[in-house]
Amino acid sequence: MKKTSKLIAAILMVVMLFSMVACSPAAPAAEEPAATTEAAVTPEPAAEPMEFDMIYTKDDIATPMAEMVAAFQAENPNITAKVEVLGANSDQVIQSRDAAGDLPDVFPVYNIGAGGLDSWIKAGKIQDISSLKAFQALPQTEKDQVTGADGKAYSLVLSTTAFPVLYNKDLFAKAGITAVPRTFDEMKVVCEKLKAAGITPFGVGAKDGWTVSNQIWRAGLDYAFPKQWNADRYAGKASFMDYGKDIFPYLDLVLANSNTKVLDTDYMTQLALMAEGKVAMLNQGPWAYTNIMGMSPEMKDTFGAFPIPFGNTASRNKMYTQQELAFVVSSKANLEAVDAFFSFMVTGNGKDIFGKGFNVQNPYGIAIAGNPVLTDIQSYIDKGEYMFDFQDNNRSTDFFMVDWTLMQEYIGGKKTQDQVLVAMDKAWDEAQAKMK
Amino acid sequence: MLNSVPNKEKEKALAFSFLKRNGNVKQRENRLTFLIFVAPILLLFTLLFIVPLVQGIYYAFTDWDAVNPVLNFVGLKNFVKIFTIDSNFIPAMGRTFYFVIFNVFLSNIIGMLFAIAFTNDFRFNNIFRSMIFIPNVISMVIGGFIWQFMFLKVMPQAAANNSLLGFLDQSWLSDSNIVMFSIVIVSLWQGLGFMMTIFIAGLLGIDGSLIEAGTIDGASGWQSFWKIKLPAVLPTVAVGAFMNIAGSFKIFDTVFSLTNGGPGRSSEVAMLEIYREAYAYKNFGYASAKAVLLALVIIIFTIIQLKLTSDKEGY
Repeated sequence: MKKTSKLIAAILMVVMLFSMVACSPAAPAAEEPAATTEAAVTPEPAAEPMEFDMIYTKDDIATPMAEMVAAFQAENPNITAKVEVLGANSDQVIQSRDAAGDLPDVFPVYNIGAGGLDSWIKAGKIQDISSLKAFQALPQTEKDQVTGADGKAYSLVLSTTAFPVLYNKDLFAKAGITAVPRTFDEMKVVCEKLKAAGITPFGVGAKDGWTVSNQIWRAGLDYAFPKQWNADRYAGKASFMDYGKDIFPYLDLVLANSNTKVLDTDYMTQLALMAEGKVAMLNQGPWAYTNIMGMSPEMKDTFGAFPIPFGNTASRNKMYTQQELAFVVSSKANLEAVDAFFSFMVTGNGKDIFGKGFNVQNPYGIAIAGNPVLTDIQSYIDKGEYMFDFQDNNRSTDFFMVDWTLMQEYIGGKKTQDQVLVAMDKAWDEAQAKMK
Repeated sequence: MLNSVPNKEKEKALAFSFLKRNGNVKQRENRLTFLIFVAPILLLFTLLFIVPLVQGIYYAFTDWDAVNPVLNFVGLKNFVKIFTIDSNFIPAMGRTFYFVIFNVFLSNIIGMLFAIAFTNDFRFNNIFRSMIFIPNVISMVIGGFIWQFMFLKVMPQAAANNSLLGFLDQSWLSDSNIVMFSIVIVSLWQGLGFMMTIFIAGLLGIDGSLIEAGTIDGASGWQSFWKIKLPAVLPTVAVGAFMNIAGSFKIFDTVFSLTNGGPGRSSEVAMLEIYREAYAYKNFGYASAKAVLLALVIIIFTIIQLKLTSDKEGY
C-alpha cells in the first residue's frame, strides 16, 4: 500500500509539474530568423495573382470591412485579400499561429513603439513598411513616432483614438456652466458648481485599473514630461520624480469629486453612472460613448468631449491621441499586395467606405460621419491642439501593469505620491534588468 | 491476513510475468497484446505530457520571448533574477501561501463537518448535499462574476437593510487587507462540495461493526468520531488534502475573474504573476523559470504532507 501510495504520488507530481511548466505555447521551430525585408518586398508584376491574409481586432467595423474587401477585390481582381476579425483574443491567436509557422501577413499590434515591436524586429518576422503609400500619407508627427534612427518604420496606424474628458452637456447646463473648462482652476470651479447643483462631478471606475492609469496617468505623461525624457530615463539620467507630480493635482481633483468606493467600481459601472445621469464627467475615450449609447440611446446628443485640463496654461492642455488600430506586416508577406489594399482604404476609392462605414478618428484626414464626442475631439485635432502619444509607446511592454497597480495603490491610500514615483523608477530599472 | 502481502506480491509478479524478456510463446503473445493496447496512449501521453513538460523546463533556462525563434541558453540566470531583481514574484508567493494555509485548513475542516452532518439520516439530505456540491461544477470565471455581484451589490444592500448584518458592508474586493480573505471565501464556496463528497465516501466506507463495538463499549459520539471514524477516514483526508494543496497553490481563475490581482497587487498570486510574465510581458523563458520554481514548492509541500499523513495512517 505504501509503495502504491508513493507510485500514485509520483504520477500525480509529474502531472502537476506538467501543469505548472507546460503552460507555454508550442515551441517555435529552431529555425533561422525569417528572410530579410528585401527578399519579401520584391514586387511581382501587377497582373500576377497575389494574396495576403490580415487579421484585425475592431469587431465593430466588421461589416464595412467586408464591404471594403469586396470593393477592393472588384478593383484588384488579381489580389486575393483574406481579412478576418478576431476581437479581443487576437494576441493569443497571433502567438499560436506564429508558433505553428503560420504568422498572418498583416496583424494588429497594441504597442507600436520600440518596446512593443523589438521582439518581432529582432526575430526578423516583420518588415519595414515605410515605403507603403498609406504610410507616406500620414502626417509627419505620426511618421516620426514610429520611424527609427535607421529610417525604418514597422507599424502603420489605421485609426487613432483620444483620451478626453467626456461630459454631459445637460448636467453642465443645469449647473449653470456655459463653457468647458480649459484650465485646472476652471475645472475646480466646474466641480464646485456641479456639486452645488447636487451633481457628482466625476465617475471613476478604478476597479479596472486602466480606467485611471490609461485615461489619466498615461495622458498625463505626455502632458507633463518632455519628449526627451524617455531617452534620458533609458540612459539613467532622469526620474519620474522630475515631472510626475504635475499629474497628481488633476488626479486628486477627480478622486475628490467622484462617486464613492471607486475601487469597487468597474468600467461598466462607471459608464452606467454616466448613462443614468448620476455623474457629469468621465475620463474615458470615444468608445465609452458607444457603450453608453447601448445603455441610454436617447442621450445621443447629450455628450461632448474636451482635453484634460492638467494645468493652468490652456495651450498646454491638448487633446491626447494615440493609435487605436495599428498593423505590422510579416516579412513573408507580399508587400505590394498589402500596399495596394491599404492605399485603397485610405487614399483610393475605399475612402468613402472608410469615412462612412468605419467612422473612426484617423490620421489620414478622412471625414467621418461622427458622433458628438468624435466631432469635439476632431475639432481640437483640426485646430492643432492635440498631442500624439510619444511616452507610453516607447516604454517596456510590462509598464502598463506598473501604472495600473500603482494607481490603485495610490487611490487605496497604500502609497503616497512620492512612493508611487519611486516605485515607477524602480519598476523601470527592474524591467531593464530583466531584459539583460 | 499476515500472508496477504507476500501473496499480493506473487500475484503481481504473475500478472506482469509476460513482460519479462524471455518467456514462452504465450507470454510473448501477451507482451505483444499489452504493447498494442498501451502504445497509443503511451505515445499520446509522451507527446502531450512528457514533451511539453521537458520543453517547459528547458525554456526556464532560456531567454525565449515567444516571438524570436532563436533561443539563447542562459543557465540559471532566470532563477537568479527571481531572487535578486524581481520585486513581484516572492510577494506573490507569500500571498499564495496565505491562501493555501487558509484554504486547505478551512476546506478540510468545514468539508468534514458537512460530511459528518450529511451522513446522518434526515430528510432532504441529498438536496443539501447537491446544493453544496453545485458550485463545484460552475466555472470559476462565472463564479467570480457571481461573487463580484455578491460582494459589491448584495452584501452592502443586506447590510443597509438589516443592522444585524452591518458587518457585511466591507470593501471586500478593494481593501488590500481583506481581499485575500474574500478570495478564500469564494474558493471555499466552490471547493467545499468536492471535499465534502470525498469525506462522505470515506465515512460511509467505515465498517459499521467498529462503530457498533465502540458504542457497546460506551464510547460517546465525540469519542466515536475522534477514536474510530477519523482514524479510519484519514487516508481519504490525505487524498483530499493532497489535491487541495496542489490546487490551492495553483489558484488562478478565481483571482483572475474576481480581482485580477488588485487592488494594486494585493491579490496577485503566483500563478497570476507567472501568467502576466508570460502573456502580458512576453518573457516566456523567465515565466517558465517561475513556474518550475512554483512546481518545486508544490512538490516539496506535497511530499511533506504525504509523509505526515502516511505516518498517521500507520502503513
